[in-house]
Amino acid sequence: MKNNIKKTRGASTIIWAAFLVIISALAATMLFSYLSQFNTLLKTGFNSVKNKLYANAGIDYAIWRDAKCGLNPLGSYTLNLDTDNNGTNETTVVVSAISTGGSGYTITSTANGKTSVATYDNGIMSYN
Amino acid sequence: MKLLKDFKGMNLFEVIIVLLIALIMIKAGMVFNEPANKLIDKSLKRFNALKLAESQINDLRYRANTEFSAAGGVLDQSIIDHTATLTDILPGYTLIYNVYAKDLADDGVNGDVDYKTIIVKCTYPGNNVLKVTGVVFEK
Repeated sequence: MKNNIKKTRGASTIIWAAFLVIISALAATMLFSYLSQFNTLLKTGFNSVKNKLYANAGIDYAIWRDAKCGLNPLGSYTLNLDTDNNGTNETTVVVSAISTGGSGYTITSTANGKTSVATYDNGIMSYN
Repeated sequence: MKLLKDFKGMNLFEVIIVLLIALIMIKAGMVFNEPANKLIDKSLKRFNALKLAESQINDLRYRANTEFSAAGGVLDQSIIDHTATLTDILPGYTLIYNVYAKDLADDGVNGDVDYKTIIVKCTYPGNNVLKVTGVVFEK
């Protein structure tokens, strides 16, 4: 009887130990999985900010074409950017502008999937 | 000792085993937690650097056209260390930018400067560098 109780206790300790080891292994696996996801999320966030800057450049490009070149701002056009100044264009910004009905127009600029939208009217630009 | 013996009805050997496992788990937790802490710390610093660089680009973008074209203007120097001029820059961060003149064919004039590419380099603690590129158009 006494031996049976000891065996049961020993088995219980081993089961608990195994349980704790499994739980800690699972926790470690989850942590590393979350770290990887966190890393991906950060990279996406950083690229999003960079692409937003390129998209904003597209908005400025549309206004420059209108103000400095006298070109019709309406329609679609592209701006190629050499973002690291190595002589090769790495990013293409796609810009399109539609009339708001009056003298103004709405510009939509997209760079690597990130979009900026702004309305330009009588020298005043407002981001949507 | 009696308290230990009474702990969940375990004997001393079992208690020692459980305590050892607990210690190993705590140590393992610390080991596993270290890369997470390092990553979060580095990411926060990188994020600060990104916001500084973005702020620098937006600052240049909204400057007057005289600063775009005037000799000696803010956008005519090849390298500017802007660290000293930003009063709220965080300790351990430095901010410099390079300016590259660019020409576009849309205006029908070759060889003039239509926009400038600004490559901002923000150095943040740990001797890391983050590069962010922005564009400033002639107004």
